[in-house]
Amino acid sequence: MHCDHCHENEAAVHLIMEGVDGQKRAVHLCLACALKAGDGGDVPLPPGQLAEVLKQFGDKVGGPLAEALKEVTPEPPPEPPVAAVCPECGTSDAEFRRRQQLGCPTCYQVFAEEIRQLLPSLHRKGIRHIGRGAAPPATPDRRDQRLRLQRLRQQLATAVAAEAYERASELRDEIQRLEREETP
Amino acid sequence: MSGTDLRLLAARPFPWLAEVAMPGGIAVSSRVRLARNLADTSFPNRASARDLDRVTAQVCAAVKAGSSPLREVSPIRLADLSPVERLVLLERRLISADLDAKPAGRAVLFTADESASLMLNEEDHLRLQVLLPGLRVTEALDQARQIDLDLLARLAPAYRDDLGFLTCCPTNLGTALRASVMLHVPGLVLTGRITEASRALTRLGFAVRGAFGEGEETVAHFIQVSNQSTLGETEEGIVADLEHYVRTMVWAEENARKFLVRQQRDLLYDHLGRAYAIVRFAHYLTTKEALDCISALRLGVELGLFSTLTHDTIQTLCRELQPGHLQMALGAQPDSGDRDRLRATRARASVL
Repeated sequence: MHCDHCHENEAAVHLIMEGVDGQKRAVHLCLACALKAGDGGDVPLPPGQLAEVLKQFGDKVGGPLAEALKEVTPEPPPEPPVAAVCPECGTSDAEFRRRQQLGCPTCYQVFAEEIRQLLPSLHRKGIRHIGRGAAPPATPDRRDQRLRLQRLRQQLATAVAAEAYERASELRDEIQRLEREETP
Repeated sequence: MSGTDLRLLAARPFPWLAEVAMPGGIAVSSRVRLARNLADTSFPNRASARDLDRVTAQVCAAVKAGSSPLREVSPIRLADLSPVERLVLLERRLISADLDAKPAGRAVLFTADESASLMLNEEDHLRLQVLLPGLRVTEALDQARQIDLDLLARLAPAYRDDLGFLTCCPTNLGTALRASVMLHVPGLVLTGRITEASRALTRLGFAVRGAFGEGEETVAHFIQVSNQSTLGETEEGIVADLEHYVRTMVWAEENARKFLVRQQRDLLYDHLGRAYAIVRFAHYLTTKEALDCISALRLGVELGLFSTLTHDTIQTLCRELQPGHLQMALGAQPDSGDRDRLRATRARASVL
């Protein structure tokens, strides 16, 4: 018996379902289409429960199902991961992980993903820079904004010193909002 | 800087140990450190000797062309100094242990009053430090900023909007600011509260370590409290938090001292008396023993319990008993056994 969906492969999953009109129907799918339906693919089946059931079916039978699937839709073998090396300074992935040190500013692009994963454990208060920028002091028409920020920061320091933490966190939010506006 | 200049420097009191109008002298000194790297060069750990020289030349030129207090100063190449001279700079907190251990290709500039020092090619290309006596972290940050702005106007730093200043270690990213305060806490140590206090500070996100010595040699009575994280906060936020909790520690130390004076007077006098006796009569004194005694004597001076000792005595002891300064003053490099004997001799002379 052929699959009701692709009409190519041998049907392996046989389902009896009740439609909204109360009628019972039989649906026959090959393994590949059954898995696709479970994953929410384009197999036209009544939605909801069935997809869930197929997904669970796929999950439970995972191994043998995947194995069987390979026969039907052969996948290319996965590419071996290429060890990253910084083109500027020659620091390798392994070196970075061993010494927890980078070799040059370009390394931050080369090892971006690893650094991104590392940051939350190193800096508990946040992983986005909200301190001073590298540019020289702002131009005159930005001065008001800068002064406002300065005043807010002073107020924040006072609030923290006075242990008024609710106020402090309000101020902090306001400061971050302003700083996000400032940076292009 | 010539050998004579360094000898003169070694004879001066430590500016950061100056007596300050602060109750009990508990907050000894405040330090702010900013790390910066140049945009187009490998960090010192991967840079060639030529790169390092180029960085030194570029930064020194930027300093000279600017208007910061460092402008007046000539850079010192660490490789030109003897080990004892480097040790003196380390003891005066003008260079780091890393710079002392690996002097090649590295330099330092510092102002005449030693409040500002700029290390070149340490872990990062630039490490700027401002060090002031007492609890003055905000002031130290302001001074550091002035110099930083002056330099940034002439150098292109490695910087990204999302990660801030790019540093060799990701632990320093963002503000690249390490702010710390040295505290003298013999009261907390003697009343057995120091471990609890240190743990509380660590939970709040601060690093706490002994200010002198390393590992087993750490002298517990002087501690350094600093921020751990440098990213996701503003410079002002970091400094404000540090000062806030340092004040809490100062208050805790004051209470501990009051408790000792009122409830454990004998314990206190025993502690002070032994320290005085050792310094007054010992003929061999190790660096650690000397620092432990200095801590006790300083407490005694702060509590007004010594009639003949003053803050000047403490200053002299603290300076002269450190190995580099001791060898510089003696003009010789005795082996460690002899050093301990000579240290004891100078100590006895200081408390007479």
